Amino acid sequence: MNVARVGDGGDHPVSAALVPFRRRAVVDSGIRWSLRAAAGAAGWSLAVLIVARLVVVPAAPVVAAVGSAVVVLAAAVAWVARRPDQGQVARVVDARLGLRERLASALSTGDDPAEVSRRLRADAARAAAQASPSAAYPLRRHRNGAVLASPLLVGVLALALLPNQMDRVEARQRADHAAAAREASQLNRTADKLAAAAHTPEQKAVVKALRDAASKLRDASNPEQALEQLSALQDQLNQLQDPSVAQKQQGDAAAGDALQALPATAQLGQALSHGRDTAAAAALGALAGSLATMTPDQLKQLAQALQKAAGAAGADAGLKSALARATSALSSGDTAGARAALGQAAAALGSVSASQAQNASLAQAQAAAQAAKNDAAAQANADSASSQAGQGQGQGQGQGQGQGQGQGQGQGQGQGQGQGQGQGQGQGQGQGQGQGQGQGSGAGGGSGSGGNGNGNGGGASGGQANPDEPVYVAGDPGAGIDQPDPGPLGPGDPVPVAGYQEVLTAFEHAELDALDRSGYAAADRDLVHQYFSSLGGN
Amino acid sequence: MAPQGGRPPRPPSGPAEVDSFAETFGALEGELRKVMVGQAQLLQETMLALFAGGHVLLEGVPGLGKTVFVRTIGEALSLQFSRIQFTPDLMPADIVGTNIIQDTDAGRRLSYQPGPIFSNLVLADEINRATPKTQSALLEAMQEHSVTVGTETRHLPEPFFVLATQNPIELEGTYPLPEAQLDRFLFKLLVPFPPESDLEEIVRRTTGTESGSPAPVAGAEQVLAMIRLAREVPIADHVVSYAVRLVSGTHPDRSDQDRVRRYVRYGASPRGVQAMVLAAKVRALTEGRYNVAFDDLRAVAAPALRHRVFLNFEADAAGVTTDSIVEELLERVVADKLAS
Repeated sequence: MNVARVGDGGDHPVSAALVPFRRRAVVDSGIRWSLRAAAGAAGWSLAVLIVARLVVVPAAPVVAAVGSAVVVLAAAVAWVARRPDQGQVARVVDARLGLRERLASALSTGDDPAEVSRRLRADAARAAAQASPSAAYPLRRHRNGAVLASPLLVGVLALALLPNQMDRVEARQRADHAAAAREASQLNRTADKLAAAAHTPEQKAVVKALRDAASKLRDASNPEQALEQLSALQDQLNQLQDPSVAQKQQGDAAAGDALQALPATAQLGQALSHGRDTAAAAALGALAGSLATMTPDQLKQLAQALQKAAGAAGADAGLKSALARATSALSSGDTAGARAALGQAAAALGSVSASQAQNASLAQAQAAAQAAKNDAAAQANADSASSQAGQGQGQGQGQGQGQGQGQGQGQGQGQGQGQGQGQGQGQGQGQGQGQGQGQGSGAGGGSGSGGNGNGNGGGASGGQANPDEPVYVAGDPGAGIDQPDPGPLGPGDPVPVAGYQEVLTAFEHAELDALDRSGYAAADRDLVHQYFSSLGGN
Repeated sequence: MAPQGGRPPRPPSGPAEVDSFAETFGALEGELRKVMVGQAQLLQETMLALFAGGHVLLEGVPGLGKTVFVRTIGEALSLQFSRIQFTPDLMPADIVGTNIIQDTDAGRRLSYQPGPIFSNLVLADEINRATPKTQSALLEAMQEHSVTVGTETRHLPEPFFVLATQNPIELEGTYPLPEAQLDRFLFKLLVPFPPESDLEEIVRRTTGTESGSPAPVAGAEQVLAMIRLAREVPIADHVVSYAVRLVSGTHPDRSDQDRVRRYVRYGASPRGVQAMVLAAKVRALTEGRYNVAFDDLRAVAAPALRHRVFLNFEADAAGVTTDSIVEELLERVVADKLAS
């Protein structure tokens, strides 16, 4: 039996009569799949939103929206793929309108010329014409689908409108990551800047330390980790620093002052006094070249001036030694030896200059690290504030960190760290040497929510401390300037403390031992001794 | 598999035949009602089977008018009628005929003497009282509409219907029909005992001086035309599928119905589907429709399947009947899932 062509609604009377039914069936199918899509999408979104209230789901609305879009798309594809054909429409209309399989049977006759088939087609077409498409596909049949989808949609709407505590947590995490990225970028920029002028292995090490720290910062999951990384970076940079540069510069300046009295060395003296190491090296070269033309008196005067300068050079052992050798050579009339010694003095000045450049790089790196650390601390504070706001007056716990750094004529570093829960901890370190007074101070402040956490660190050199006041500094008593810096402190780690007097005494002994080994004059040793006495030591 | 009675040649039915079908059917029913009191369902289902070209097995206690009913059908349709009373000593030759020696001018020679099977309408009364050998003599006649005597096959007159009766009681000395022979009956109809109101009417009709006499409403040719027309009724694929699922559902190894798996020994044969569809087509025409509906199949399912489903001993012990099994299938097998 031929089957009528469906879909064309052309010459077959039943096909033509079924056209409005088929349109209605397509709409009906669309409604059904829409409700299914709505229920599916709402179910998915509801699940995502519920989970997002229990744990942090990154971009939960996006996940819900994308999943819903997939569900809707699948429903649309299913609707298109499963649109009812004419035969199915005929069967449905037959069943729902009680046409006793007329339409489907008539379609199945195709164009059969038999009288029974012809009458069936006419009968079916007549029945279809009298029937209503809306009666065959009533909207009430979708009541169950609507009943299923409605509460799901209401639930989604409610969850979407009600505030979600996890949003704040997620925002905080995003801010943490952004801050870490910002800090890493800051370090990288400084590293790029330093890398352009890095010539020595020490400078390259600074650059590498910055890049490594930046890389670790990007992996930091919270500001506390970032602070730990940055503290470690600062410690690493501290280890790369040459703390004797300032003292050497002071020695060089003092030597320059001593040389300005003699016309032949006035230029050299001025260059040294003003810290122009390159000009000083050139002046030393010129002086060495003029030795051959000097009279014995001039050479004698020069020897005396150089001796005086060697004595004043103090901490710059290289310059002092070279000038002493030049003095000795001039005294013995050995101009060639004197010339060589003056060349060594120029080299010593170059070394100081290199160390100075290294310290300048380190200072920039430290500044970048400090800025990043401030940023991380600010982010940590913001996180604590956010957390406290979310918890109301609950038992909050915060962490604060502060750090300060200052430089005077000497060198001082301070670092402070504070933690919440009502405890503050501070760490300070100060170093100074030479004449006059070196003073450094550092202060850091931090506050932790839910408690009070303040940390202050101060570094001081010179007679700033009251002798009667017990002062404690971080670290163990020992090797003074050679003492390795303490390792980075983690949150809550106890800070090792030792009596200031104890440390000062040990430091004094170390310095005097070093002076003895260097063969300094007794006057110089007395000067150092006086210095330590002024600090409240022996 | 050839349907019962063989497929008649197919001259296309004209409008007149289509128009006259329901009219003739109604007229026949009216004539039968002149004689028969009540038994409306029996009348209806018997006529469905006749116009579907099938044979009918009538089961009922004696005295319910089965013989009168069959005879009345023959008279109303102007069909040649014969009655065979089956007894244990009935021989096959008593049914299909035999060769006898005749004296002629040319001398003595064997001449075939047709049996009572050579009629349009054969009443096989109390068929289960004959021996299986004699019962089997009907097999070829019912299926092929022909008989073979000796080496010669002779065609039976068309239309050819066998209406057999059997008594569900007095089973002693009977030979229950084998499954193969039961399967050749399109319908098995149960002749119920009439209600009191019908009994009163029966008494009035049969004890007076006047008795109803049916008038012929059609002849053999018209009956054959109606059978052909019934076969032309279209049936949609999903309606055929429903019939097939119903019949498959009677098989314990295919059915998902617990009672079928528990109580049925053998399910209905493919002839069961054929019987349902053919009878459903006739029913559609009698209702003025030109297609088979699910309702048509449901209406004829019980008479078409009740003698084709064989229950086990557990069913007998539990009082389960094939009708209850079929009824359960009709309730549980979904006609068209698409429309639900």
